[in-house]
Amino acid sequence: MSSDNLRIIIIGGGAGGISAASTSKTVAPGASVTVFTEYEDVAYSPCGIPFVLGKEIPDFERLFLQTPEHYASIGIDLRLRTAVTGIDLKGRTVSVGAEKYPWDRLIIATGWEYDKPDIPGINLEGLHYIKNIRRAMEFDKLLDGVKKVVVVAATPLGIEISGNLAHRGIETHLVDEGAWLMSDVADPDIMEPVQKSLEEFGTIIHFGEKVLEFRGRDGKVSSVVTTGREIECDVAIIATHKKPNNRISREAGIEIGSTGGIVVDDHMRTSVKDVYAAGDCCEIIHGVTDIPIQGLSGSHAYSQGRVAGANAAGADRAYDPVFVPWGMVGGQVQMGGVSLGETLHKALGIPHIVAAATGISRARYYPGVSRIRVKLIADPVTHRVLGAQMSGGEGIKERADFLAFAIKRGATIEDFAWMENVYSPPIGALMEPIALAAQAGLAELAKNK
Amino acid sequence: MAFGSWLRKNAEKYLMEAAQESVARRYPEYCAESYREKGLAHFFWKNVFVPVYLAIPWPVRRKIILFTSYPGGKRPSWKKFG
Repeated sequence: MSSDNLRIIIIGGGAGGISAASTSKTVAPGASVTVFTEYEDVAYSPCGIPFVLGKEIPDFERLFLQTPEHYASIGIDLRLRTAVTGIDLKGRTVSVGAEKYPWDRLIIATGWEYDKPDIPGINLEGLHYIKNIRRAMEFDKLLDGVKKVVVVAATPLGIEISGNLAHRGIETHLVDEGAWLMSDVADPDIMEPVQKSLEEFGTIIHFGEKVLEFRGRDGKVSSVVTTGREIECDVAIIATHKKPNNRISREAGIEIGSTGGIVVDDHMRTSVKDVYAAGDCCEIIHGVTDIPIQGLSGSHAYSQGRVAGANAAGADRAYDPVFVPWGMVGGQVQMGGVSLGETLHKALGIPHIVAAATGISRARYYPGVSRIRVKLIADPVTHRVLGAQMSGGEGIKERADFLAFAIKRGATIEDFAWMENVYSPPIGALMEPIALAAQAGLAELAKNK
Repeated sequence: MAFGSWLRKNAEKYLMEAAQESVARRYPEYCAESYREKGLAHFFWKNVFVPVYLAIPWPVRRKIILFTSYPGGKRPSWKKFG
């Protein structure tokens, strides 16, 4: 079939769906490209919402990257507030209620949803989920009259929202079952400065407590009961883990993997011919372990959407397994990493050594200098670096990007120990903290000989 | 829930808990006490599954993980690193 006659349908208007649509249209300008989204908006940054709620960013309008008119002008048929209710793989149509829309290529980018705790009071008014920008705008107005908030789960979003609401002057309680922040992905020594910073902002953290119940008055939440206490609140924010939003794909018979995500290959092809998937609804192979994982960042969804969109339109592009550079801010501290940290290496039982050091971000005498903690995890036999975690005042994102690139290309502890680095007092110290950590790793390896 | 998903969900939970406890012993100054479920199922996963899993040599364990990670044990086409 000529790519000019293709009918490409995309389900989902998030980062994966919108990048798929734009790329399809670029690769096959004559194709008809239709995007269905159940929401009122597309092309905004949901990751910016906590910072608007915290008044770090003055308004929600700044989070919008494009308008629906822009997509219309480049020939993309955007169907807002239009939820796809089913996929017919044999008839090659999608349903919106009783109406059916035919496709030659289908791209599923249905994203994620919160893993809602199955506990009493979960349907009370006053429980909020940070995801949709319109709901966030309404929530922002509500917050003007709020004195006390409970945030459930010290996930990345839980940490961001806790710091921001405390910054806004609201009494903020963060409740988590773990022994430290983000305990299922990050290591405690890395997260300690983040915890301190959040507490300095005024966040009250309750570790090791499970939420048992939301209690309410007149149908509205008034307190959160945990295994340790009852915390009164005006609103509660559920920041639990993301799970793939795959109901219609599952019902259609598209193959789902062990993570609950759609199984795709490196061309973002699903188990069904001419059906592609991108973003948080699918599972992607991890570059170090080769195990499929799910729940990555907006930048991953965006790139996957581009690959799915290009291939659906007739191109031949491949997406690599992921090494997952990540970074974020909690309070006033940056944290980040690549691949797996020490805790996850232990959990999987992967043989490893830990190489850690604390350095500085600029010359020690330069104003604004901050401490940078770097931890590298390496294979004890090959010395290849398998993962890294870091926290500090600045430069974490750049280090995570660099480390991901180097780890993907097989860099060893020796490579990092003897790396060249920029030295300039306002922007870089004489000794790069990554090199310091690697040198500690060499010492560790020498001890184990 | 498919067997692979069920196994992965439980294995992840209890292997993470064991790893968190080990890491907490290494960095006690940075850690509080975790919440832990109690009961027979939890006892099994914690005291039987986790030690048995960790006793299996890594190369064998890796093969088991990979086999149970893909539907039907079939890895889709992806580039391999390392």
